[in-house]
Amino acid sequence: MYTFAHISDCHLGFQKQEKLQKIEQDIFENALDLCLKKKVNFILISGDLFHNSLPDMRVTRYAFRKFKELYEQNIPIYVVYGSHDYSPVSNSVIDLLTDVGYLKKATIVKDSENKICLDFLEDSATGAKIVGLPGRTVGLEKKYYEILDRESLEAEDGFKIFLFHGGIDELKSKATPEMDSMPLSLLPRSFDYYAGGHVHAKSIENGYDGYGTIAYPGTLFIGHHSDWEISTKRTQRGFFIVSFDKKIENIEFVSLQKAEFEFIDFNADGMSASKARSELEKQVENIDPKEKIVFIKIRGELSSGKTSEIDLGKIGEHLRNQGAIDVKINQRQFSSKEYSITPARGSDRDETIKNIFSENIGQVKIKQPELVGQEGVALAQKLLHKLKQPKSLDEKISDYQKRIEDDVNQLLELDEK
Amino acid sequence: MTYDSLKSLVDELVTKVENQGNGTKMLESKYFESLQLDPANFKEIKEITKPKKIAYVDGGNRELLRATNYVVELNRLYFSIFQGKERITPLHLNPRIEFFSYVVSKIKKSGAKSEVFYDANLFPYKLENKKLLPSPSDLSFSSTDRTMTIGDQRAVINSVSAIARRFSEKSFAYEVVENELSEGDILILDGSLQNSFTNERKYSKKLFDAGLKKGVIICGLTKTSTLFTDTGTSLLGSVRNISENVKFGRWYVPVAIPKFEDVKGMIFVIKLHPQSEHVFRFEIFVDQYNELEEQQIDDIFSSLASNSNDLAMLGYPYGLIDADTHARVRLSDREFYHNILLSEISRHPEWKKIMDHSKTQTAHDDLNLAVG
Amino acid sequence: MEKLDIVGQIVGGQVGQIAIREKGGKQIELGDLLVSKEGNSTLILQVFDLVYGSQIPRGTHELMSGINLEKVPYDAEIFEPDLRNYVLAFVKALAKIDSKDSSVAIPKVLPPFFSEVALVTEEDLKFLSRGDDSFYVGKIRSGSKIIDVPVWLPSRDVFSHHILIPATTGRGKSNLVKTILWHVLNEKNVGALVLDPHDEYYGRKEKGLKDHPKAKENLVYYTPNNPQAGANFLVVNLHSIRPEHFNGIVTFSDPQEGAIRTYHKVFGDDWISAILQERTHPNLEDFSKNTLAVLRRVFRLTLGLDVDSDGEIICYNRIFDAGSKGVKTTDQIVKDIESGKVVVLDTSRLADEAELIIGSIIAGKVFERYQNHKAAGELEDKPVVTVVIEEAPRVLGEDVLKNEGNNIFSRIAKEGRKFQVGLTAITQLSSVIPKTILANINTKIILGNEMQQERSAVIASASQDLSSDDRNIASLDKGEAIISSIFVPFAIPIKIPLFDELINNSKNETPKTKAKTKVF
Repeated sequence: MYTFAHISDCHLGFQKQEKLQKIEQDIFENALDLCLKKKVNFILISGDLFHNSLPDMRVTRYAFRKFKELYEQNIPIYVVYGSHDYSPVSNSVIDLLTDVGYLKKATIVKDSENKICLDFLEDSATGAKIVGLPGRTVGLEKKYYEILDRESLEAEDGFKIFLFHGGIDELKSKATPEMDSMPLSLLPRSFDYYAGGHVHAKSIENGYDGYGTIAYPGTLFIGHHSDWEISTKRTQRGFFIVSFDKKIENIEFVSLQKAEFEFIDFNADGMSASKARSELEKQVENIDPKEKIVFIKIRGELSSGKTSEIDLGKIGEHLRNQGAIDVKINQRQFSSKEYSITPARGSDRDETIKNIFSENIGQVKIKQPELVGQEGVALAQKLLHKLKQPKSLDEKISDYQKRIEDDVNQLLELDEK
Repeated sequence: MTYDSLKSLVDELVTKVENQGNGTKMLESKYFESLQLDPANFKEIKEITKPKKIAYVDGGNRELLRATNYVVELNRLYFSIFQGKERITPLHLNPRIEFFSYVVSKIKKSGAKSEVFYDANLFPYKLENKKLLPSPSDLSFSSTDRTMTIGDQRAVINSVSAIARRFSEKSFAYEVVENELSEGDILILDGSLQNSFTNERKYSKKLFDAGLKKGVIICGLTKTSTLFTDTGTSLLGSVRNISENVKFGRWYVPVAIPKFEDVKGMIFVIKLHPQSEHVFRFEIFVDQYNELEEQQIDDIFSSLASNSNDLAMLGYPYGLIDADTHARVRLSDREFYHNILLSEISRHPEWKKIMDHSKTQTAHDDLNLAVG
Repeated sequence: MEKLDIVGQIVGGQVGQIAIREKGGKQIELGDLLVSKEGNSTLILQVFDLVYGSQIPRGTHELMSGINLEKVPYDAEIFEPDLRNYVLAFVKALAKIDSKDSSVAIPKVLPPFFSEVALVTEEDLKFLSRGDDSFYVGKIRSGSKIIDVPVWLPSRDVFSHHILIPATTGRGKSNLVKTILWHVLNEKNVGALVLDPHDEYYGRKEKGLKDHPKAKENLVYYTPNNPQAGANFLVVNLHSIRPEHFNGIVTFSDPQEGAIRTYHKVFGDDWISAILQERTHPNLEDFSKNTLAVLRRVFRLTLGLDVDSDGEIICYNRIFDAGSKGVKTTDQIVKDIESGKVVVLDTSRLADEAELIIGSIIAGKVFERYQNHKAAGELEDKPVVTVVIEEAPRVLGEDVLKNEGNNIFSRIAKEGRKFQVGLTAITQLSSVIPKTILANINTKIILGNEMQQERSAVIASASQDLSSDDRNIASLDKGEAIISSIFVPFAIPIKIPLFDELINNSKNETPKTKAKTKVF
């Protein structure tokens, strides 16, 4: 039985803040230490090892140091470029590491005249055949796959691993942020293991006809701004240890958690700016940020006032003063109100009302499905109808009010509290 | 009970017709010398490899507006030329002429007596055709002209229209002979060669003279005949019966020789197709007939027969079918021109004068409308 | 009409039924386009009926025929047969073209009596110009003859106002759809969702849309069945399916609907899995076991879903997934459509209901997004969308709508135009689609149909008066069609090119470039 480690998207050099840089380094070194400890036969790194092709010297030094250890223990490391660390002129730090033998690039191009013909690297200890294609920015690697000589790769016998860096259409999940991706069918079939990178969320998929296991270990720590929120939600970060012989026997996820997080998800929808500020400050006071990375997501549409009336910078400073390692704020979905009603016509009053709702419902950015789209339109119509009910002659105002409130609550399925 | 009386009628009628038998010859008259109706006199019409060219002339007319004192008609004249079954395109003449005619009454005094006369005039559609038509001076008749009257009654005004058309046919036939035919060709009028009306002789003579001069044989073919045999039976019917003893399917038989000034046609009865039930009266201009060799006479009939195989009316010359088609004035034509005529009349300040008179003749039509 | 090939002369008739006598030997065909020049304009006429005319009574013809057939020795014939026997072509006036400015008007007067007519030429049809943003459907057809004048339809207008393609089997429906989509692939101004129940459009084994020069950029193909390189696996996560996606496709009883609503409320997107796996929850009412069993059976029959011995959900058709596969499939498809791509779904392995449910999910999302675009005033910048659906009565049929209620497709048919979302409905049976829907479909590309009832339904709802075209339609050969649309000046007869020829022409136009690719 053999084993290999599958690591991806370390993005070494991403962090700018000192404490976070330390965490980033610790996680990376920890991962490789675990590989040594578990005596894996080889390691796969499927791209974006570094956050750019020429990271600063600090990063390069510790990377070299660590890879040297593995080299000296005869644990080969097979890599492909990622979308961040590639170099069109082979001047990436990856190439330095390859030149000294610490890394082996799995992309060996025999010919690229009409088709890209690749050669396998054979791992001497295990006989595993490894081949891969690099990632490029904005999904340009897709061009490689379109002219890849798949047939020869598919025809190869033995235990095969395909190393790649890119999104796969069929494997996108809700957690996957929008990214360029390609159809699974562009990858050559009949490989036992597809070692994926670029997608920062962990996933393992089987069951696609003609394809073995397709795995993304995800990023080790943080490789992109969008990773903060995912990490705060206790998403596991780490890498895979894969056991195999003639086929995959087991895949174990090795979790690495070197930081603690606090997450504030603040919904300012419908609040005035002043109210939103005071509410947010209350929530901030309720957490213990010491030695943690605090992530604040503020979203929603203010009913009045401007978003700048909430001094997020000040809040962040306050939290750092309270001992937070760092504070990250996401306010992409935070806005102040400005919309207008698009008029519409209909053959009669009811149809006019329906059409106005239909035309404008798209401006309402609410998550609940029953309040948007046609369901929302239908509900709005019913609500309007309820609210239009007149007071009866002998009905007291207070009774009328209660009646309307009861009707509306029932319609909207709201509890009394 | 109705059927009983009809049965009796039929029984009696058949007996009387049967009793007439076939007759031995045409009923004698001052106009003709009748010949024996004998199967031996039937001559076979044989096939001809090179049929003669035959021109067929026919005319048609229909009333557009009528009163006691006037009538307006639309007339058509048409000719076609065939050689066997092949149509020959005319070289000079337009095959069809249309003209309008009116006949109006006028009173002429002869001493103390006043007499109704009818005068006609012709208005061709194209002015250049005027010269092809008879002169109006030949179209003035007394209403008591014996060639037009029936019994003691004054001749009706539209009989003059028919005469005008007949003269026009002969006048047109003359033009055909002059412009389109040459020696050895044949011209066939639809109808008899007999002169029946006052002034008709002039037009017949002109035509005959042209025929003689150019060597074009002038003939006439009549679809129906009122000629009798000496037993009172119909001549054509008797000849058809007698022909059952004749072995050939196509034949001709001479039946009468003309012996009167105004009667110029040597009369034959002919059958032009074995499967046809029709026999016709056929006339050849006697002056030409007398000069023809037997073979030439045979060729006339053979040529005619070669144009008579059309299934539309087997045994009847296709050229006459064609001529009839184009000369006929249909009811739809009448409607069309009637309206235009009324439109023209209505423009005239004196229109009421015309229309008041025409009402005298429409009572019957109105009655038809009333009773449905 | 000098130097024109005169084929006949007007001899009578009335508006909508002008009689033309055919010149001997000219052989006017049903559907022929004829022209009559009058002053400064050209009248375009179309033949819709041919009858024998004769000056001879019918009995005579029959007798002549008897003589010939029975070899009766009868010395008789019909003289001048060409003169007396002829063909009368009945035509209707389609359009009046002004010679100076090529403006087109509907003719309101009869052409002059006895006008001579000739066969139409390219010159006569040059007023049919190609506008911007249009797609090609074929060349003008006159009878069976092809006139080298291409017919282009305005994409935005035609697709958003819906297209109906009525035809019986073997008349060239697939060829037509492929031809249309081929040209749609040229640009990105039309997004298309193509539900392909016969897997015939992409071209897995034979020529197809994949051979288009811009297929890589503009064509997306989803199939559950061993996708070729560049195509996608068709996998749809069960979380993508909401209860309303069954509307108008599967009928549920009241208790079943109640159960569905409740499970959806309690389990959210996981409702189908919850029903299949018989999960419990404190908030769940007690539903009859029978109700839930029926629902499980419905899911098995329509979606191919079942539960294995380990309690895991399996899908027999490998399309639906209860795990993590295909979560973003429908979103991605919607995104592709919205960016003007043609998305073809191979639904050949799916039951009807499953195909329609997937179509319903995607079409529903697209529709909703376009409603939002309209509200935001962005509609003009978006490509128009068409949903291509075969056997349209499955979703537009009168019985279906009556028994199972409206579905997204019928909604699109009724309201989609406002939001630039249209249907391209293909059907053998137009007669079962309600008139109100047929009337809303403003372009009909009518292929041959031998069923009189179907022709009548199409004719009754056409944008031009096709009341005299019944025979024309019945006699349409494979690849021949009549376009009736509010966007064309008259009902245009066309010949649709063979799809293989389109591909060959395209190959001739785009030379292959050979370059070495640098792999980093």
